[in-house]
Amino acid sequence: MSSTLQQPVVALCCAVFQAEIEALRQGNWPGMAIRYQSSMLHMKPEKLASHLDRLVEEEIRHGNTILLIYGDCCMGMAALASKPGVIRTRGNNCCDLLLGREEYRKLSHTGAFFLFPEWAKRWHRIFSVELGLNQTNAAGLMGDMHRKLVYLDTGVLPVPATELQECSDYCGLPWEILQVSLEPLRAAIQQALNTITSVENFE
Amino acid sequence: MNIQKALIAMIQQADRHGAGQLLEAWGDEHGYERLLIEVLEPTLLTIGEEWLSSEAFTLAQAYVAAKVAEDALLKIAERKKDGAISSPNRGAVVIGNVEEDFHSLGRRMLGIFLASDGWVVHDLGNDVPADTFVDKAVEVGARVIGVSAMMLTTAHNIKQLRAELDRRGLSGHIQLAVGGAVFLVRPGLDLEVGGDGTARTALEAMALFRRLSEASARKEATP
Repeated sequence: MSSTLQQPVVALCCAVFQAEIEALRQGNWPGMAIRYQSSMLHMKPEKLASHLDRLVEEEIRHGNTILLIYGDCCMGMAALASKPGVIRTRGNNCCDLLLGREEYRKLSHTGAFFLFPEWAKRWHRIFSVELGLNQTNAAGLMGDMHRKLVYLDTGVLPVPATELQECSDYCGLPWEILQVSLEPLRAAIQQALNTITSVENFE
Repeated sequence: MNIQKALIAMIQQADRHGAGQLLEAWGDEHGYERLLIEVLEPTLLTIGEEWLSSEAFTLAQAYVAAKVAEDALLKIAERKKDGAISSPNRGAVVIGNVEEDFHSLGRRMLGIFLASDGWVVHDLGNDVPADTFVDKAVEVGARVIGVSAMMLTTAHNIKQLRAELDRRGLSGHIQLAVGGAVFLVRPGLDLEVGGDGTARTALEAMALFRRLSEASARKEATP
């Protein structure tokens, strides 16, 4: 058995999940250190990769085991997750993690564009500043790729109805609310933590 | 300012209309056949490389670039219909995003480029299972399947498609073109997932599909 069995686990987590994970934390992983990283890094995948790489190296130097609570959000993610002492939650992206694989695929086939609670409040900045989409291009792009906006209501934050309507008007797509359980997200994190334990036992 | 620089400047401003006017004026003056090779290809290559390697381009600019190319190709297609530009019939191809992949922008653009090159394109959409790709290719007599994946996780699902072709004894007869953002930054990934070839751009993909189709024909001619 490796000496890493006693290493503390530090989670590096996209802040898109912050409210949901804080709601889960007390009852599930009260002792786990979680470092939330700005979800806006997702807008610049190269920057996200280098930022996470720096944090992972820092935690490794401190002798910690690292859990990445992320999807496959940048090209460097696989390399990061393959480092010794690092594990990533299993999921292609944050929607996949929150909804679970089958639900995510089912809804995606309906043309859904998912809005996270943390994301929805800043929709205008993301569309117009980060993505550079004025209303015409936003409506063109979203209309080409999607049929509706689906707000993922995790029950942790109030539904931002005004912002959702404004986003809908900007993108030219209707919106709807989907009540979402936190269980798939909890299970994905727990499964990753279990993997750390089993790898350490195997060693 | 030359046409490429002017076009990139328009796209940087996410000005689809202005870019369209610029291309139309150039096409009218120099011919639409030259537009593809001399203007669209180098411009899209520059934009694609910049988008992947730096923060110089936004999604809006990439989208506008794709739509500008689409608009230009549709104009070329109109001229082909009128007989102003010759149009070969290259046969059927099947394209789609691999299982679990929902990033359709590149695939849609590929479909437009292939159609403009004379292929009959059967676009199966997103999240396509391996057996659906192969069933469709057999049904329409396609020599090439084009499969797209944006991220590494989903790119590995292409191995299932290769396995399905192997299982039915169709490898070689049906060639597998693989592409998507991840292939640009992971040299060798195309071979790792079982692809017969890859291309950096939709324009390069047109040449790739021709080459793979010829390889399929040679395989068929082999006793």
